[in-house]
Amino acid sequence: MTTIAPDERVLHAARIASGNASAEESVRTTLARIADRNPKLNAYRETFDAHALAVAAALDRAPASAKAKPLAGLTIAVKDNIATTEGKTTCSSKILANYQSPYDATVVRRLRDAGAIMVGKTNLDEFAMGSSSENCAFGPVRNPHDTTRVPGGSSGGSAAAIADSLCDIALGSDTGGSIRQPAALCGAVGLKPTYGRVSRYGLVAFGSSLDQIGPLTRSVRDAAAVLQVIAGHDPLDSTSADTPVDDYLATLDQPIKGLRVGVPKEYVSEANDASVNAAVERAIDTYRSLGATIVDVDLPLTDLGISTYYVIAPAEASSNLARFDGIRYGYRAPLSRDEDLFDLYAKSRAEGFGAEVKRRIMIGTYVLSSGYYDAYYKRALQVRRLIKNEFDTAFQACDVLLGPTSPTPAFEIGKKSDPLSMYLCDVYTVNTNIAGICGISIPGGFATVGGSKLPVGLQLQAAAFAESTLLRAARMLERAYAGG
Amino acid sequence: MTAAHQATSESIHQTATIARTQLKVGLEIHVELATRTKMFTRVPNVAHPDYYDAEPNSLVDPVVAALPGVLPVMNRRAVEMAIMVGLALNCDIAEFSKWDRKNYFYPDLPKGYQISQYDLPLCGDGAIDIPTRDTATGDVGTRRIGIIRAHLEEDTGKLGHELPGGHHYAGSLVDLNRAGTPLLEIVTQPDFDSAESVVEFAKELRNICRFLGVTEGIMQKGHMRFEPNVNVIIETTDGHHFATPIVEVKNLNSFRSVRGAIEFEHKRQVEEWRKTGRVMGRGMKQTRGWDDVNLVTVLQREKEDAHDYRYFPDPDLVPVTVSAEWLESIRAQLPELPIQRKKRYMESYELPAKDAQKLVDERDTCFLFDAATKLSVMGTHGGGFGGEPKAGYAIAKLLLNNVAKRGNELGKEIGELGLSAAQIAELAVMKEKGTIGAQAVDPILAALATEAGASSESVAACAERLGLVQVRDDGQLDVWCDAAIVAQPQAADDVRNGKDAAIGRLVGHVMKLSGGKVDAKSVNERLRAKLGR
Amino acid sequence: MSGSALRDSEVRHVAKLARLRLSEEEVARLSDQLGAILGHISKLNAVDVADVEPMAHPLPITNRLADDVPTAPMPIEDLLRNAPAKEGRFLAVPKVLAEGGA
Repeated sequence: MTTIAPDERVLHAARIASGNASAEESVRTTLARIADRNPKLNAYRETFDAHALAVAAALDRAPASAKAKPLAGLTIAVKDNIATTEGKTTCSSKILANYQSPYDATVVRRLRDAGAIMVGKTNLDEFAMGSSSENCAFGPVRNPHDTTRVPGGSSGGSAAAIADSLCDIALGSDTGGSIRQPAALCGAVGLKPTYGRVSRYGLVAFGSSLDQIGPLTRSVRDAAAVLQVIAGHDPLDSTSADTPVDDYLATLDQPIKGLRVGVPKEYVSEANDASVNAAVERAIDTYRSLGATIVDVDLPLTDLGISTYYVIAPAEASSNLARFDGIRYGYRAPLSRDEDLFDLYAKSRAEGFGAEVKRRIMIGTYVLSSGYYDAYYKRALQVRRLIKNEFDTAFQACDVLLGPTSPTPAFEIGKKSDPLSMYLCDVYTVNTNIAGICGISIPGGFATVGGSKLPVGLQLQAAAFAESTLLRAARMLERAYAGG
Repeated sequence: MTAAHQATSESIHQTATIARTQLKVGLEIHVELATRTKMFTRVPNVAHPDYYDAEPNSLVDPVVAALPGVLPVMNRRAVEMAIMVGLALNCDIAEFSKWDRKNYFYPDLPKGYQISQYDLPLCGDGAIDIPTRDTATGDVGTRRIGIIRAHLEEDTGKLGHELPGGHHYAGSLVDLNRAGTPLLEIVTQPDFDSAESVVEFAKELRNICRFLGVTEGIMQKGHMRFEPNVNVIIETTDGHHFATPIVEVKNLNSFRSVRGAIEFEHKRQVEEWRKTGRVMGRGMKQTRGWDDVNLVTVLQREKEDAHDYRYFPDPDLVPVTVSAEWLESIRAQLPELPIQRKKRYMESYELPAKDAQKLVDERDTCFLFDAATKLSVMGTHGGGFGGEPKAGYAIAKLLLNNVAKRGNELGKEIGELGLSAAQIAELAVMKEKGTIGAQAVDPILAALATEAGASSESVAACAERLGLVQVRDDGQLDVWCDAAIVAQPQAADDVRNGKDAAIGRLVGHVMKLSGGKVDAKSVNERLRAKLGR
Repeated sequence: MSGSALRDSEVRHVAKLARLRLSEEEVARLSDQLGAILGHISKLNAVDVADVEPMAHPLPITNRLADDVPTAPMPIEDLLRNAPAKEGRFLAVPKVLAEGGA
């Protein structure tokens, strides 16, 4: 078991801010590495070389007061379902292949104001629908640890970029595990904030009551630093919380005395890969050795998460994706003389959307359609409340929940062709979104599969707005694993 | 059942004699609210007077255009306006209401869904009394109309087929200026039994909304659109009742078309029943449009699936809770409504119902009346009425008689003439004080209010300019009266002997001597005093 | 409960509502796949949801209301830049053969 020191990029930002390192040099190095590695990995769809170098040079020239920013000079990869005025925003879909956003997402503005330098847009499963980043109109993304395997999804491009040092920090989005699962499969840190903690303005909506933007990083500290910048109320997002934002970095290195770690028996399943269960056991032992109490908790509704999620998310998605109609922007199919408006819609969407997106639109339309609303959608919302209640009860007995992020390490590209088997990848992550609480995946070890060493991730979950607790507990484990 | 009997019961509609038909109408109204900004984003609102003339697609932002990644944010003012209308309609205001998505595809609907309120609307059960007018006698009464609900939603963009320059475009041209305008949808109970009552209600609702300041109600701009739901109860002479299927007539934006469409439907549905015998039952209600040229309703072609809107709660918006405090603060802000004003005018100014109704029928007339009445009792115009009640009465008469007459001559409403409250007040006060005679009012109005608008000249200056200021000098009046008595000795004697009518000749003589610049009434009194009567 | 395939007619009806043109092959495939997915979803039927209030929003927020103060509109160039077809200041679409959806 190797112990790898976490790569804390905020330390580099501090050097740039104090003038002891060059942002331009940092960007140049990153761009060179991307040019070398990206053809194999397909993490990035496009990079903004000229833009990034110009911003970096300007930062280097700026007076100390202007340089003193928390993420000064850090290169950031942005998932391509987040709106940027730079370049295109395609959501890895043919239907938006040439779309240029006239506005920046709120998180992009905040990161820019914090000194981060956007170097490019990363590939994803189309419209964030998938757990492997194979559903990408511009080719699958590959796992840096074994390029025959998936990086996970839907934020696979960001996860691969972070894991392969093709950026300092990365942004992803998480609707049912799309930050955490690829982080686990690529050996990175991936944080899904509490619902409403981070603005969704500028995130192309998939499951509006489930979506959150969050960081993928190579250390818990970096994740905390990025969260510090992007968290907080946004008047442009009616669902963003005005709960005050904690100072995550101030408390990060303080171990939690008397930490209670809940381990739901439903999470340590025989269906998991052995390496995954072993990683969980190791984490339990490590927490114990740090003085934490391990608590048995019950989350009997865990297995219903997939069913609940695959009603709510597609339902919302079917409505959110109705705007992709070929009328105001995006792909419009050419029509023959006897085709009319109905055909314009039906053809543009049929030709513009991939199979998984179409599948989910169909499910979503079905469960909302006349006669089925009560049986599916209303029922799913009721089970949702029960799942939330179950977490609330569990968090009375513990501070964080511990378990695997994914039942298996990275699988081979093309291996999971059955949609349902792909959906089941998310069994441990969907409930976090359903309940609206926060969760993080951190590296928990490796599995040896074939000739490859594949990362295994551990997931911690905490109550809504308890990111400080979550990050501190994650840091405890991270430091212990690094031999600190 | 014999074959003959069967044939009869199956074809009742063909053979029965109709005793009477009863029209039944429920009305759906869409009101564009005149907030400064749109319902779910803060770009300017085309329904606000400042933005009426905006160029196509100039009131658009990423939210209106439904670009990827955008989110809606509610307009507080729109919610307040909706509550104001709800209160004016005596509706229950929901403590908790929410937003739902109504999903369908159309080029004027950027998101592919409309944000609306489905099962928990902002306003519930209500009722309102509308004035009814007997066209023959002019008598006014009231009629109660039930309100089922009122809710907020957003308007769609517009599809056109004409390019600038007038050329026809063989497709549709999308203008999103109107997309996202706050829309208040009001649904009444089917309490109307005539086209006339529907039009009365529509006019009253428009009036109320204008008084509240939630819309200017310019019909040609589509500020209010009406959708009557019409059916007919047919009663045959042998006592059977048949209800025809309900027909919804879409998108009427003038009172004339509302009347025309309902009356047409009344006739058409009876004829239809005659032909087919079809009666109201389960299933989609029929949708028709109004052809304003041929004055008929037309069946609209529908796709079979047009009505599965797949409503679900909008996850991007949070619910609205209306606290008792908020509700009371809105209620306290409500301006006096037409029906309350009418009552006040009848009580305070002792105006007859007909006159009071005419004053409140039109917002600008009413505001003019109120302002002029208040000014007339203030120091600046010196009063002279001995209190507001007399002033109100006098100014009402002035407006409804003289000013209305001038309006008719110019084809304008009282409020459209452009006369100021100060001018009206000054005119009333000068007349009351006798500074001008009653016969001077019309010429002064004619001079001040013209085709081109109203002059801002003061009434005093105008009266002076036209030589209409009356002489009040006691000395001069005595001279003229004495002269008249001398010149008309027979008339003077008649008056002294009790023949009252003779005073007219003496007054006429004073008029001649003075060139009409005297107040007839006071001359009359002066002469009587001199003659001991 | 294993998911039984949806009827082809159901698939076509849903595709029409969703404005997705499907090939016959897609209809057949989706019929199976959707059936399987809905079969998995039917696990929800085993849960006792009596008297449980549906949870549409994770956070109990209400009244996110903004002041009625105008912001600058988007320049028309930004609207038309991504438009598939335009005519002057308008977005252009093919003829609508039937009346509107609402």
